[in-house]
Amino acid sequence: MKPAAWSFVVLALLGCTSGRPLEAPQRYVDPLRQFPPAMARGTPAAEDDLRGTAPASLPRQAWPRLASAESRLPNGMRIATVARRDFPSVACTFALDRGAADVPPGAALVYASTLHGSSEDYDRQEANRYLEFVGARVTTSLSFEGTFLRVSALTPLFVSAVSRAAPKFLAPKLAEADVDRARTSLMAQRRLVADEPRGQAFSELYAALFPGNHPYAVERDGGDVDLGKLHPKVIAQLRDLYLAPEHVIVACAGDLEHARMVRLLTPYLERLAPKPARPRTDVSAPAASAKSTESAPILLVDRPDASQATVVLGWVVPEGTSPEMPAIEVLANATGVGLSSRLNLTARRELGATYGVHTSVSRRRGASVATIDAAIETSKVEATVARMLAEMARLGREELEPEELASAKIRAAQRGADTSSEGLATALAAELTLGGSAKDMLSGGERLANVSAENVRAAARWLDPAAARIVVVGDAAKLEAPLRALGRPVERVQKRSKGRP
Amino acid sequence: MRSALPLALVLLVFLVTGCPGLNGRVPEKDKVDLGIQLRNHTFSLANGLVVVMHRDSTARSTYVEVAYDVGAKDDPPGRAGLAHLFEHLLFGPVRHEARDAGELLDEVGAEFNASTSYDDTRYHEAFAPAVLPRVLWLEAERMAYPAARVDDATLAREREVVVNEWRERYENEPYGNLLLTTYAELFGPEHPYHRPPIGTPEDLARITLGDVRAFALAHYRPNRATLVVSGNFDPTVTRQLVERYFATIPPGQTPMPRKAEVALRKSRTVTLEADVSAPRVVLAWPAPGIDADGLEELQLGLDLLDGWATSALVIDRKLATRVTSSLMPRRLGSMAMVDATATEATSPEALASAIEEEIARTAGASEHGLFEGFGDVKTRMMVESVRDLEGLEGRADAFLHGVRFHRTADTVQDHLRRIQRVTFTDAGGAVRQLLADAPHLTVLVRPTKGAPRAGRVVR
Repeated sequence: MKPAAWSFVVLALLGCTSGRPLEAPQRYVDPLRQFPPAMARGTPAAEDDLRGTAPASLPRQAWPRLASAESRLPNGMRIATVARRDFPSVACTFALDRGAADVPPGAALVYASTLHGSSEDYDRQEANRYLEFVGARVTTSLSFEGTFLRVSALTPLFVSAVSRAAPKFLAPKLAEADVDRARTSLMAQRRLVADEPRGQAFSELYAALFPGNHPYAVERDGGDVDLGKLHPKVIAQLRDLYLAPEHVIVACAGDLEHARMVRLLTPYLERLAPKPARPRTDVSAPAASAKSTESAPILLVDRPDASQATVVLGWVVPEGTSPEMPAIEVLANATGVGLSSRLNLTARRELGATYGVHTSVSRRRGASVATIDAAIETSKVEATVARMLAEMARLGREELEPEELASAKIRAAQRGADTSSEGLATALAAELTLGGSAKDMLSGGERLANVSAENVRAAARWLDPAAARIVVVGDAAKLEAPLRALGRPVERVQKRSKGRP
Repeated sequence: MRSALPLALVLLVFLVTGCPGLNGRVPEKDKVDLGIQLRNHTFSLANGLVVVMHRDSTARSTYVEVAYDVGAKDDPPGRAGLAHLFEHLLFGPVRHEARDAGELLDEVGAEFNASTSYDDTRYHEAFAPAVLPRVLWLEAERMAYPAARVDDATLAREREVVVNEWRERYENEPYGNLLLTTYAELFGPEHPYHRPPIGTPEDLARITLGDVRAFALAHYRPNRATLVVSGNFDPTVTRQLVERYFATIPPGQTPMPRKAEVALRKSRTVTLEADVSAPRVVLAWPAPGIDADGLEELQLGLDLLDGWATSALVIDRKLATRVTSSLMPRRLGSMAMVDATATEATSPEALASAIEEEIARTAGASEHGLFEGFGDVKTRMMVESVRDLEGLEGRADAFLHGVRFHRTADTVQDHLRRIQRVTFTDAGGAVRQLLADAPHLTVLVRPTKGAPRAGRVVR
């Protein structure tokens, strides 16, 4: 791989060399910090003249879109790359386009975690020690659509890193000891987060948004399934059914050339034997999501003596590749991203009721989910939620002001502008498993720029306050009456048992 | 700029042909030597403000960070949380604009945040290069007239927000008091780290507008701040902007350097009861300050301990479900910590004893040359240090550390060399001297129905 035009210089490397001398360090003038000269502030008029008007912006630079490419190997496997030469690192995400939605709850999570274990080629310890020696980072993750193993390293070390990481994904042994280790670790993590109110609220929300037999009704981690009881054979199901060329995508980003990356990866990828194609699980939006759920109760999970209530509002919105998604993302930024977003101006700045309101959109293949969440002081829950619902209703009636729209668009576009190679490879793999392409991902900024105020107002119908499902985790004795005052029934629900085997 | 190409290929060729591990040979360690230089232009203004400019024309953003040498360590008695509350207030009204600072940053599409630690307070923004003049103007405005238009109503509202932050992060959070208790107990009542940066609701309620004004005058001065501009910008234009808006801000007095003793004469144990699912144990030791020699040795020793303790206590003995070791470097005294979650069948006391055994084993191993994976850990630490520089924020951190502790922004190479020089004997020695043979604090968390989820000290 051709190294980048680095902004810093790797001077001397392995072996017996001790490195070329670097330039002498610059030292700033320290006495100025300790003993600065006496200075008077300018006259008020001079100060007003200097600071009274914020300076104009410089001309905006147009950035060329990053270069992307995609190849398909003879066995059907896809390799997509995005080249970016600003740092000497490369990252690849190996993606199986099947995830939590495709196997029994919990199994995909354990499978993903077990990928850290032995492969058919290398013992776990040997491989992990080698990866440590070359400074590689290997992580696994899971979505409803995909199962991912990510490897990243400094450019000159990447070939070495792939030699141990690729077999972990493409030829996982899934030995019983590795499955056991993964389950133990995951159950430990679950126990630590079992009592967190935000996690409890989101579990209830997903169960409320989707019917019980829908794959999205249970969280990616399997919800309250006892991971300890998942048989290793169930874990192996994902591999045996789906680990085949037509289901694998490799997404790479960073300091790379597409052709060289294909040559590097091909020997690993062509080892996979073809299998019969498998249909995807149906994850389309439930029919009920389109109709108003005004009568749907607020779900209240009791957390006695909690000084705050964790409040989550949720909606089913279109699939992740929908043309409406940019407008929904702008809407999310206008409502709950940034201190001057509408819900933060209301709930935080005006009412002082919360540390912050967060709006986010979880893009999914069949039906995405938009959420608004906040930890709100118990005594202010009713007033705050009422104001939040009123703001959401206003978004459906009135267009955003031009300044508000521009600010929301630029914030949405700026997010992740300088992400790492690892971040870029992760985003690319997520886009591909959703059914999109590298070009879709890279043109996201342009699509956001084209969103109009009318688009945002139209998109607000998806976040209709009347259709919101609302979950509250807090002190039920203090919350039940105020919540009823919002004009909806309140239903107490039992806390789910996640984390308690 | 010199080309990195030939030397980078040297690394590649060496690894493929001679790197141990690829061909099954026993690794020959301690041979890695990474040379890194982050180009920068560092200078002082006459008022003492230190400015670091690091241009990277491949970046799509510009990043600005202003770090003030003021943190929770400077909170006046009875006013714990003032430095952090003040940070919140700086997103409120500014003197020469009708809108709040937060609104102005949102308007230009900046991704921004701030943090207050025991030692310092940092404000940072990433944004499109075109709006750099506006961001520098705003940071200068906040430095020249910090909290100038804050009134009682603004203070009262922001106090409510901070109390809600405290509820969300600590009071309402499982194990929320664990780390706060560890700091408070390890650093005694006289030490500035005894009090939490976020403060307490009682102390926050006592803070007046007068306290806020006095705090601004004493601490938010250019000679106690460092400005880093990195990423994509025009250096000439940027220097002009910096001089225009920052050079006339009057400096303040420089406080005398502080020393604070960490007085842990003998090991002791504190127990928390918490309504949580799993028992948990923290062992904590005082360690030298962030600028002291020997922290790399201790960090490497803790990394080794981490691997060993996980293998022994989680995998082999099944006493714990998770063990992590970490070092929290701070100006007036660092803290080394082992944090473990017990299995259901294990008492926190038994787990604490088992961790102490592992520490003794790690300390003793260096004498017998048993640190088999030492070279791996060292290489990973060096490579991770380089990878931390991938983002503009990581580079700013490196510059700020250098300016604050070494009077130069160019410390990355020295840091790598210090890691490289550490031997397993050094690392084992650090574990022995600073952990195995030193008094420590043990905090046990006992799951108790009906107790606060965050935990309460029972003895």
